[in-house]
Amino acid sequence: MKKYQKISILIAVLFSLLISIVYAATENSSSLDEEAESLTEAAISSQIENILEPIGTNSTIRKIEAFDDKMTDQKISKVYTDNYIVSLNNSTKQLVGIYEKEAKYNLKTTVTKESAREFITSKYNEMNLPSEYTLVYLEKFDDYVWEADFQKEYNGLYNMYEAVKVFFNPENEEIVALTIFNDPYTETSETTISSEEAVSRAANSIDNINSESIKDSKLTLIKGNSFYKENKDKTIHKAWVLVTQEDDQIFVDAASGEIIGGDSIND
Amino acid sequence: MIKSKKIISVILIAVLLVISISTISNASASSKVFGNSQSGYASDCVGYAIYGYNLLGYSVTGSSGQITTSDMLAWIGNTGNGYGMYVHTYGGDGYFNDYYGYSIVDTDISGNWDFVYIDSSYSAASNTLASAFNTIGYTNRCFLGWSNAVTISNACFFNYYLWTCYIGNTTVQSAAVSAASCVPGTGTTPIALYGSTSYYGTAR
Repeated sequence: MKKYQKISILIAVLFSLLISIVYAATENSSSLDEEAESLTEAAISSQIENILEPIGTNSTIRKIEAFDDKMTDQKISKVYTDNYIVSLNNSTKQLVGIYEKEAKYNLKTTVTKESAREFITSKYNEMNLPSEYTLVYLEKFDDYVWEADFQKEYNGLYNMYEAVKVFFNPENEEIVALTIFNDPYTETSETTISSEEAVSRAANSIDNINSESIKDSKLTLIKGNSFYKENKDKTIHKAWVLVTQEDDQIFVDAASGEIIGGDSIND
Repeated sequence: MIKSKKIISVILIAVLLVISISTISNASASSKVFGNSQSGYASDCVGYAIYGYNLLGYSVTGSSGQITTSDMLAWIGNTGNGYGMYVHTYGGDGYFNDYYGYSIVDTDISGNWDFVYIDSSYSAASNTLASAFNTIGYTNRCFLGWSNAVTISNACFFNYYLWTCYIGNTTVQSAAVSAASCVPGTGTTPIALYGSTSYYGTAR
């Protein structure tokens, strides 16, 4: 075989390979999008309108993408309108969140906390969000945006996983981002471990921890993690969150006394 | 006949050369991500950032483990096409650390950067690092960091949504606030952006 023939064959093979790779990638991506679209589009049009109408923006659907949320184990459809991404749970068709594509960030917020509260509670009601949740947090997030958190109460403890977290600019009457968490607290076991006992359990289980290492403790509804040992349990526990002098956190189950997780500050 | 075949071969080779040269001359900006393995979430965060920078069109490489200041300074001092950098580590206002606790401070930093995210507490408490990376005052540059203390699990949660769900679909500013809203808890994600609030983070 002549040299030029070999070169021609080599070029043909390389181009075929390239085209195959590009085609496979495109095919995979479009089939995922088509799946999301066929699952949800008919069902969501009016829902999108109901969500976006109170915040005064159009609800024309531009595209739909699938998103497999590994943090919450939800299959999500991300619905793109002109100004927002609206996330819906594929199984329940419930709203998961709305997210502005290009937040304005043009008007510094100067309103009082009371005015911010009035704006967000009014908007919250207009959007038909869960009425049983309580506003537990309202602070400026930065110079332009406020953060408000509405959470469900269980006998004096608030569940951050059954909540609405919203970022907004009252000057522009703008909802920048809003997420609905829908993970109820279902544990029924009694709180049998006191704060002091929780410290003692931590001291027995974790190196370099003793009663003087702990500067604060708070009874909280929280999910465990693998900070101290492997823990795949994703349910919500009533637990003591112990804070060390170094600002590390230790989660001690308030019923069993087991160490179910922890955290630390990255400073 | 032989002569015409030779001409065809020469043309094919020339076309291939032109394609190669144009590909090289239009090579996308590069980015590098670093994860300090003293955080149990380093490899996850590095993986998310690689995914995100790829979406933005960067040619990206990652390193997770016992990262050193010399590794990071080698990247900061690159004279090539490097315009993006992400570091998941420990640090504070105006500095960030390597695995061994040695710090990189603003005076160690030079160059013109498009999209930098230093993922350590207080990295954006002031504009010191954002200014050092020369990301302020341009339409297509920005710096992300934390204005206050953040826990490593909340940072990791935030990073998952930032890099895998929102980046590339919204401005970096909107992606950051959207990801912040996805992290449970109150005041858990004090993310701050310096530079352009309309920049999508796309590679030049």
